[in-house]
Amino acid sequence: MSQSIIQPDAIDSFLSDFFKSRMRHPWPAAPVPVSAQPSALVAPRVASSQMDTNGRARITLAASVALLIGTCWYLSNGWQSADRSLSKPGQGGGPNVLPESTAESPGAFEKNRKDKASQTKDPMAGFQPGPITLP
Amino acid sequence: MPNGSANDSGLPSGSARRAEFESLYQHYSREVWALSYARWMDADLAMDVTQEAFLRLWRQWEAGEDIQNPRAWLLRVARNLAEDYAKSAFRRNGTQPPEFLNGVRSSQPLPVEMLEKEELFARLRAELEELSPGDRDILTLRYALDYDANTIAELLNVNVTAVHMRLSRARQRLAERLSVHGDFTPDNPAERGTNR
Repeated sequence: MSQSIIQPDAIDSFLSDFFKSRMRHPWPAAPVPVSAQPSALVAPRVASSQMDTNGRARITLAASVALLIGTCWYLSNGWQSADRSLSKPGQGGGPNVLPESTAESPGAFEKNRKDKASQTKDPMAGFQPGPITLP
Repeated sequence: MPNGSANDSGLPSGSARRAEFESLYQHYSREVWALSYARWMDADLAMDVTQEAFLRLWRQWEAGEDIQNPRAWLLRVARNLAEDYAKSAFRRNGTQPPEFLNGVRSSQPLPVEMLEKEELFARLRAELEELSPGDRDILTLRYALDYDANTIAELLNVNVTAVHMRLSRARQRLAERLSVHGDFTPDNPAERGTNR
């Protein structure tokens, strides 16, 4: 390769060739931007479906809460306490478990105890004391 | 926000906005590319940066941002994107340095003249990389886009005299470096350029 004096025009031409060769031919088209907003056809459907979803969720939540409260009330004898409040003491209202008895006069308990005592045999009947034989 | 026909809500319609976008791309995409290319001397990267800058402009419009000077905005975003590339893992780790890749031959045989020209360009590219980014900006705008000193000064917001001075200095330096390496021969394209 020979040494040569470079003229200004030469370096101009060389640089121009270089930079222009780096540019694409043809020049690419503009990028196609994707719109972030949904189309007019999709937008109403999306909005209505969102409303449906929200409504359904609220109804489900309300039903769940109601079921939970009802279950807790039922398990805490909610119905029985309601009947007791309606019945008068000693009148046998409500569940007929201990008729004609109150906390002050547990007549039913007394009768029950006497009946059981009369029916019970002597626990010592038939027992013969003697030596115990060990194997 | 681009000008154009507006719909009932006062915003430009989609087609008007798209037309404005296309117009901006036609006017300024080469400038954006040139300044991105001047940063890394990588044509494909510069094109990626250019396209990304324009897509970001579109997104700004969609977000309702009011961009008063899209040209300045695009150039600023492109510069930032090119700088971000410097911090990227690919740039840091890379695959092979450009000097190495310059020597990789294509699988298809090139004509001898084309090959010599490409090798000369690779040499020039290496010399350009030695220049400051500011000088590369000026050279790229001058020779890729044929901008005159006034336009370059306006675009880069520098003094016209400074543009002339830096352009002259960069050319002188390149001529010296390439002469030392004996890259300019009577048969190469640059030498032919003196006869035109």
